[in-house]
Amino acid sequence: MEPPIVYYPRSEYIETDTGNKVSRKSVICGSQNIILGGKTIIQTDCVIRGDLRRTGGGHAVVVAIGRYCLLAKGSIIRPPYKTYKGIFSYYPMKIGDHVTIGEGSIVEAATIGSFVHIGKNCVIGRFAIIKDCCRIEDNTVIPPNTVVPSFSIYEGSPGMFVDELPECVQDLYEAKTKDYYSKFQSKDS
Amino acid sequence: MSQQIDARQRSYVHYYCPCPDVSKSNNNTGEDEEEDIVESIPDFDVNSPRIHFSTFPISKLYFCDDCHQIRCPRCVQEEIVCYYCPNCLFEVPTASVKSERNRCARNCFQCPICQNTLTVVASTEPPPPQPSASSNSSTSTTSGAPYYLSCGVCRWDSQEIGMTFEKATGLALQLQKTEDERPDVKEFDHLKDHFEKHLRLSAPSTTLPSSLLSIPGISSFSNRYGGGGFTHPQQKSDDVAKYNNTIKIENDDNLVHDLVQLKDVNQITTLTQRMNQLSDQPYKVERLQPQRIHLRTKRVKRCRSCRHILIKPEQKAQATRFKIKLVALNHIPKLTITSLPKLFLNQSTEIILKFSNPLYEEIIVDLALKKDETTETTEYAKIKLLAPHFNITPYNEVWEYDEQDFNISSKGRPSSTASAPKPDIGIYERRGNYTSVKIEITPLAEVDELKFPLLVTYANKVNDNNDNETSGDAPANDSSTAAETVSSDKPNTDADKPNTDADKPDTDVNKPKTDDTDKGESTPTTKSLFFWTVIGLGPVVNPATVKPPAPTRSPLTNNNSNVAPTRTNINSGKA
Amino acid sequence: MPKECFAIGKRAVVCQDTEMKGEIDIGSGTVLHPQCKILAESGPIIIGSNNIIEENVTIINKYHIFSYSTQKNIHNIYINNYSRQPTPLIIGDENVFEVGCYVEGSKIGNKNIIEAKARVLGNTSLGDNCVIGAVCSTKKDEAIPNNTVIYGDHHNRRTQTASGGVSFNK
Repeated sequence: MEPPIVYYPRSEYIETDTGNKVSRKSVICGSQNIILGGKTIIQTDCVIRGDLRRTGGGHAVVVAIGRYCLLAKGSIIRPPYKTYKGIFSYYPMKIGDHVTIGEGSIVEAATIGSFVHIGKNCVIGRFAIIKDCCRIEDNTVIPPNTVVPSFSIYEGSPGMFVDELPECVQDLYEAKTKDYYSKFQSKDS
Repeated sequence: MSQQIDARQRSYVHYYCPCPDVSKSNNNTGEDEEEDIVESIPDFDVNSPRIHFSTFPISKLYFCDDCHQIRCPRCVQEEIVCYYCPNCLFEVPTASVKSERNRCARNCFQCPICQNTLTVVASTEPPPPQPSASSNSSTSTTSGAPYYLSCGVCRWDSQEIGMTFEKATGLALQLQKTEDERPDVKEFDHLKDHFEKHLRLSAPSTTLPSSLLSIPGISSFSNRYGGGGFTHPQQKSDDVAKYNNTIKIENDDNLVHDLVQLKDVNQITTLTQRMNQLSDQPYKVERLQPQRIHLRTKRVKRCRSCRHILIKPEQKAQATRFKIKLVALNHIPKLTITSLPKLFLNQSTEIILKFSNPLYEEIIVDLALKKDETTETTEYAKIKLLAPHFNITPYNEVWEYDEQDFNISSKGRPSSTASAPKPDIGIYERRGNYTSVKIEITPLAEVDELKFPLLVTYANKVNDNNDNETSGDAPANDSSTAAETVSSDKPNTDADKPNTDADKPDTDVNKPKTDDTDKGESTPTTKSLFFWTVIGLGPVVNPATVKPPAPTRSPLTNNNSNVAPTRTNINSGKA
Repeated sequence: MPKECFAIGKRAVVCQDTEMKGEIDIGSGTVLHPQCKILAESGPIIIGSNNIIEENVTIINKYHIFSYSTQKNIHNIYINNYSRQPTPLIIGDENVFEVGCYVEGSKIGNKNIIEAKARVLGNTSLGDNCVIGAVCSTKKDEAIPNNTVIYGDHHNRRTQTASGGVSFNK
């Protein structure tokens, strides 16, 4: 089934020069530390914590998100933290291209590769690494420090490998995210 | 509304792979086969109980460009090219996979309680647990301290069973000794020693792929059943000396007693926990051990009938690219349901099917519900294809990078590049590399899932040279022998499977006819292919039994096709 | 209507975009991230020191504590008397409330971790050093002993060896 066109009130979203669409009702903290690759959509009630950065001065990228990503309603992106050698610190997070993060999901991963689909209401634990071409089903809990290898489908709590993704998943997810972006349109109301 | 979302999720287009039915047609009598060849296109029954095992979403299918056939996961052969640990992503050389018992030989362990991956944690001071070693803390806080494994989900740690490590690396190696001591491992080694003498005597026959030769016993197996091993004056396998087991595991008599005493369900292991520790499958939680993580593989996939490689991943464990990737998505038209109003009993409804062309050539598509039939009435529904013949303009990479806008202004662009759009009956839309067509459906029975078969025959106009080039791509990677076997195999497969290769000339004969009906275009060479699909539309609702029948209907149809009204307007405007 | 009264200790951080209602006492070194809700509806909420309360956390002192008595009235018919008492929700020290968790409860001890999207329901009291795993929930109105871990799909429970606990200093 092909997804329908999604309309949003023009006033609700800010569109950047590179085509990012960011909801005014989202909470973006420390925006100077956040990079959006372009054509990325951040929907209502999302929280991105760019202010949680490594202790110590200097400008640093805290959250880097690639192109054609979708952070659906109520998802939370939060850099992971740990205490290393007695020092509590936050660490940067990187998200690749063509990544979909479903509604209400919480992401504290270290890295998320490209062509990744994360379902609704998932919890991605601290320092989890999700490689390219993965699918996390709805309501999955990926525990801290987990590595999700490429072409895997993970499900459950704690998230377990359940199946392999087909080889053409890269094309599928690329088409899907591009399609979603092109159908996410403003409407005067 | 929720019901409708449900219906949308339950709609699908699945493609049929005839492979499970090939053997059936082979077993048929000669008469039937004759008929098959004449009719060329095999029948397809959507209500067959085996339908779920022979239909797949397009993403799971491959396309052998030598056989010009869809290949499903069940009709490809797999060969392992690389073993790797899914946790540390280290590639394990094939030579050491066996000795490491197909599990990661580094630091990767599975929690015995919840099967999560364990992390190595340093304990600062074992007796009074300090809060500074957090559950997910780093591995190297203090040197020389004992290390242990800890689970971030259920907070199990290996200190509970008295398992600590001197070093933070190579934990599996440190456990190697205790693993070798295990009775089952010992017994297996004894057994292997015992039979190895015999195995060495039976010379390995080289008909098997080398990857299988390393499995003890396989060679003798092929000798006995394949290579005519009985004719050789070899020692028969029955002559093996009697094996006496060396290790006896005592039955734990106290176990039953202990189990009777149990009061808390958490004190006994679950089935999953026992199955993860196959060696002894303990009932007591204290006896559960962390297990090394199973390795995963990367595999080459080959067409079963012509042995051509369909999928060849890059050797490296972490690479996600493929050297060869012949997936159906890039070779056959893709069908998507774009508009699916709710289906009501005895009410005719139009659904819209989108056909996208992944090829660089224009294709001509013919649809049928049965052989040469565009309308069909079954006990479930009356189905009418409103546009049984149409063409789809080729795929053009430029469009990919273009702004894909659904605005009215940009609407005219693709149609101007494509052949001038005619106001075809039943054609809903033509844009880029896709054409959307309408199908009229009148459900006649209240069913949970209305589905119907659709035969898609398509012909793409290709030059002969071009065709050779594309099919010549794959063997370039394969050895020349593979190409030879293909050519020698061809006649065989033709005879064996009337519905695979043999139909090609047949449909080619049909070809001019379809061309005539479509446009009258004819190019020197056309190749015509077909496949069956099954289209599922979700449940049919009886408006009489649904509580508020009429009022809900109109908003629902409006809602669901909030795309459609604007587009139809555009269409009619253009026409 | 409960009175609005916030007492916030030294070194405590309360980010903007938090929603606080009623009588709330926050100890020193406690951090409240944006978008969290502390709702002292039926009674005060007293939060100890060095707690972390992350985004979208809801800590609520709900109308759930009743004193309940039965007595006969003059016509010899039993009458149930409910009366609402403003009981406080007391949260100890060094607890972590991770993103999106929901805590009703009556008492939370020390060094507990309520993981993402976990729920502590009803009149439940938590001991020390407990972990309520991601997406897990307690039953209503239970007393959870020290070192309990609730984890996994089926909200399984086990007792952890007392080595857990978290340290943080922000």
